[in-house]
Amino acid sequence: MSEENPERPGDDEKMQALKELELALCSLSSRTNLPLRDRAMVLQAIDKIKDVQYESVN
Amino acid sequence: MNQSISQIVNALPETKNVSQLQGTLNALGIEGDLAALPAEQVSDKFRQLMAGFLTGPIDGLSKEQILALTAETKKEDNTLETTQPNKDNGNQVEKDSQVRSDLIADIQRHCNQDENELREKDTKTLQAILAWHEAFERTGISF
Repeated sequence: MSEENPERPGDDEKMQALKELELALCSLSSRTNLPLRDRAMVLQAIDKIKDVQYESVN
Repeated sequence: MNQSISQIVNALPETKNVSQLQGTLNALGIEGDLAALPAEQVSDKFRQLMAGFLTGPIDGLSKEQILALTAETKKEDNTLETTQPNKDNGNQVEKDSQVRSDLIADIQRHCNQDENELREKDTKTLQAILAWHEAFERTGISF
């Protein structure tokens, strides 16, 4: 049984980069003049990041 | 008469052109004027980057690629911020926002949904709206 340790060099930096991307996407999604089509795309991206963040802590 | 979200979701992707789409919406009792919807405001480059992000595994992305996407996202955010109502060309943007808001409000009324729920939580509805936009793009009309 292999004990997996998700902590690899660079993982923390990547998760931090993803967090910054999430924040930027959240700000973009809050713009009232963001077309709906693009809002859907942005919200999907935020969901995808949240999934990765969730998996990384479980 | 209220239509369920699923009915709207099922009906919208069937639309193939603007007049058919408008007819579908009208048949559902949604009165938004699609011809008055706004011009597209997000760059093609950003859309391509996001499409790649959404379709590929995040594991396959390097930190540098994520940072590049963040930079592009911030650029789009700044662009939209400067075109918010009451700033530069406020009148047109305000009008466009109003059209979108009216459309959402119409859908909301017909779905008995909270507006925020419709905007942010009902992924299916958002995907249906996405499908209209794609239907529009196939007709050469952009948002």
